[in-house]
Amino acid sequence: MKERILVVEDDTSLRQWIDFELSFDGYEVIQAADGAQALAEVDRQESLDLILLDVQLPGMDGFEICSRIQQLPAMSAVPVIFLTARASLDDKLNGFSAGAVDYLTKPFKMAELKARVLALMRSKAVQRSVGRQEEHARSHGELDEAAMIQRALMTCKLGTICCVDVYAECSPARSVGGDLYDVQPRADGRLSIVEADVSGKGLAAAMVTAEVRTVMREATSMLASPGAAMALANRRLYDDLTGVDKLVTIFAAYYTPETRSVIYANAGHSVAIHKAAGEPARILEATGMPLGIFDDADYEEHVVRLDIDDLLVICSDGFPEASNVAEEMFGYDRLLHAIDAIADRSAAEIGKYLSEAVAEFVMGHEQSDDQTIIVAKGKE
Amino acid sequence: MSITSSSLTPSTAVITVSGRFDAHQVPKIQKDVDGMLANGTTVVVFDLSDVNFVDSSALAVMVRTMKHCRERGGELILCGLRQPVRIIFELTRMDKAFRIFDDMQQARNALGA
Repeated sequence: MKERILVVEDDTSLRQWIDFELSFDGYEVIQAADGAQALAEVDRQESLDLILLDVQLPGMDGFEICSRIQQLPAMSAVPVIFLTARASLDDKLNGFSAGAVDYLTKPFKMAELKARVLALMRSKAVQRSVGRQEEHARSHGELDEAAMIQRALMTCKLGTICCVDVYAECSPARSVGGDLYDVQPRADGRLSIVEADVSGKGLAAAMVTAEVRTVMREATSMLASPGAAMALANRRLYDDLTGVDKLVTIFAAYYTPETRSVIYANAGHSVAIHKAAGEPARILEATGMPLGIFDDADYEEHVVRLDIDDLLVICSDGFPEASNVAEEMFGYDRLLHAIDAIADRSAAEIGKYLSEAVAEFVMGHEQSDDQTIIVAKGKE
Repeated sequence: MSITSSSLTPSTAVITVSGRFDAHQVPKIQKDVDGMLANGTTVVVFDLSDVNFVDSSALAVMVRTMKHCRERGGELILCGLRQPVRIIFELTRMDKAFRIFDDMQQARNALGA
């Protein structure tokens, strides 16, 4: 890609001579005859690599134009070479303090101008590549660490809770993501099962996920009803979610081993599937909206049983919405059929089978959404 | 995949989205909406009659638009939801979060525009 140079010079023949010579050397040259045109070009061009700026211009002088241009965030790293008819030290110092990196006194030799331009372009290229490498190493190192922390914070502990087998797995689309699972015993002997999906993915979503985990842990440990816990979490999270323009879908359930029953609230979460032994799998509908839409929202609760060999599969929409190269989605039907086919295995085998089924379907096509799954199966 | 905007009345604007409404469309939509609101629009209509899919980012930008319109005493209206999109709205209970009309004409009738 050609490097772009903006030449701001009111002397037409000089300007055109510079254009001719620099274009010959392979640069793309844009001309401007005064400050107003220069600013218009800066606005119009996607990017500039260098600006040659005459100091003695009609209207706005070069120093002022230079200051204005360099205040624009996209332009602050673009080097400016001043061209001036005066040679006084004052002017040179003024030039440097206005943001120029170099100074050429007219009349200058074209060979000298070209040499200065080349030197600046070269040093820019080196700076850019070092900058990118550093950025890459830094962000990959940090992201890897963040990914490790995110995974370590996902809990799936049963403690002494009996009669159920639980498997949970999270696979973010990037190193870190907006999904979470949190399975742990409550003080009253019930098992709390929570899965959340923050809209979006990558680092931005991951930052909200951490807060969602904290708020949900608090709410589910304090409140005996998952619906009430959801409503409290929504009130707590509403302002922050509005601030970052995100929504969260959450499935929260409490499992009572003595009665083998699961009471749940499902905030806008599309994928909660229940399969009673001997019956086909079916989708459990949402019992309320995602969190973050209204500051005051209610969540209904429903109950399902988790008898021996009954199944509860909760996953993020990254599962049914996973798409292959032909832009086909895995879909809910495939998911329900896959669950029906594999239902007699253990929770872990079912979870892995479903993840593999999606991976095979997708066949190497880029994973576009975080994928998280929790499988709970009733046992003796 | 395309996004076009137009205005119905000085305070009502329409954004028509086509194809897949997902994270890639969100920045442009956000920009268009912000521009409209800055120019005095209070009611925004999303015409989704040509949309076959919405994801969570799209839903989030609809919620954002709704909140911003409400702050100005207006609202967000959706129309023309196709079957696959309607299913997503119903599954997530977000059909309760917006005023939804079958088509543009009904939306216009309701708005008196």
